[in-house]
Amino acid sequence: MIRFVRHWHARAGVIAALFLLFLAISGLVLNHTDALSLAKREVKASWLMHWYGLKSTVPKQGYLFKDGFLAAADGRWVMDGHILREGAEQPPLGAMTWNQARVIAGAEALYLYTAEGQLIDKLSDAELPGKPIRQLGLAGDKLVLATVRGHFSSSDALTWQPHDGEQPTWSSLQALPNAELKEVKQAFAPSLPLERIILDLHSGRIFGRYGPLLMDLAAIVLVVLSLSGVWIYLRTVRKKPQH
Amino acid sequence: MNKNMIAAACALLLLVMAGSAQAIQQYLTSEQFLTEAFGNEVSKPQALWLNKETAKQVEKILGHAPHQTRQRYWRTGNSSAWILEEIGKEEPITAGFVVTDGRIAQARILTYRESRGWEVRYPAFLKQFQGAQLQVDDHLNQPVDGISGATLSVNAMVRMARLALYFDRLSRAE
Repeated sequence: MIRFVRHWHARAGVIAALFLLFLAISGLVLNHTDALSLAKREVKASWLMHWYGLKSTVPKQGYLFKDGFLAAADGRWVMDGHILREGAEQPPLGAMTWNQARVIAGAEALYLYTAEGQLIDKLSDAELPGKPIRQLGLAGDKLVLATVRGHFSSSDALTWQPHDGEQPTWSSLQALPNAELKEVKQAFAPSLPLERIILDLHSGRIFGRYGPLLMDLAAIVLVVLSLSGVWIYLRTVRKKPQH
Repeated sequence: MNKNMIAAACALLLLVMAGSAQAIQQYLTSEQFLTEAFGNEVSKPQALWLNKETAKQVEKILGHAPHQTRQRYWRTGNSSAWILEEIGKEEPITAGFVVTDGRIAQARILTYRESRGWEVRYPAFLKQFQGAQLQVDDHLNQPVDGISGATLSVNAMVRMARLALYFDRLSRAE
């Protein structure tokens, strides 16, 4: 009997060791998610995204600045090929160049960026003359917001007055130039945080619906191995000749 | 025994629900905070712009680069009011500080979004900031006692208090 158990204990042990190593290493990495910034590291490998069934939505329209563009899809805002925001709940309603800044309006907030993508200021709640914002426009050198409370203009994006001056030029969606489409395509390529991929590897979910079952099986094998190991040890100790 | 266990499970469930219900709590709007600080004569907002040098100093105080390069504030006489945001653990905490003559006169939590650590909104905790000044090394000149289970929120509040004092000093120098 002991020969039989030893035989299978060794073979199952080698196979289970692979799973154990894999689980231990992935578990160790997941234990230090924050230190390793796993949530912030985006993986874009096309074969992996294909495996997850993720497809990119590439917008063909966007907002044009004097020397750049803003495009948005699936909660991602991309300015000049660089990701500006992720997980935005609503798409931008307008974007335009104002003085040296690039202004982007969402329904609930107004963002001021530099051309390099550095946030200058974000105006929301009481900093806005009214919400939701419906349109963003320019009247001379004044920024104009169309809100549910009416039209308001500002020359510094700090204080707002009811706008009753010249007719604003409203920002509107335009076809993105062909030259930008390659950049847009790259920027909207699907991606997943590394943390999610390692979590799925650890749980087996990356291998589809049967992956977790495979990991369950490996766990059961480990339990059996622990028991058989203890059993073999006890048998060996008992059989030792006593002096 | 079984009844005790069920009661304990219910209590735990209620505690978890209470914890999640704490998420995103607005205690004060910015208008209410400013009215509290300045009465009905709230001045127009002013802007403090960060340059490379001051942004570096802000990074030293916060431990990360500033989120934005323009900071809005309100000033009446010797007092200035600052509404700042800083992440405690995962979500930003919005806090308001009134600085008078280089000392914190008032600290308030406007919006708290974390699921734990909301005890920082209690006056007993916030009173500790009153009278605090910025030392030469840009730290507060008086200690702020922590709250167990709210360490990250307490740290975020201390960083924002230091930042409000630093911004006030910058705005007065302009």
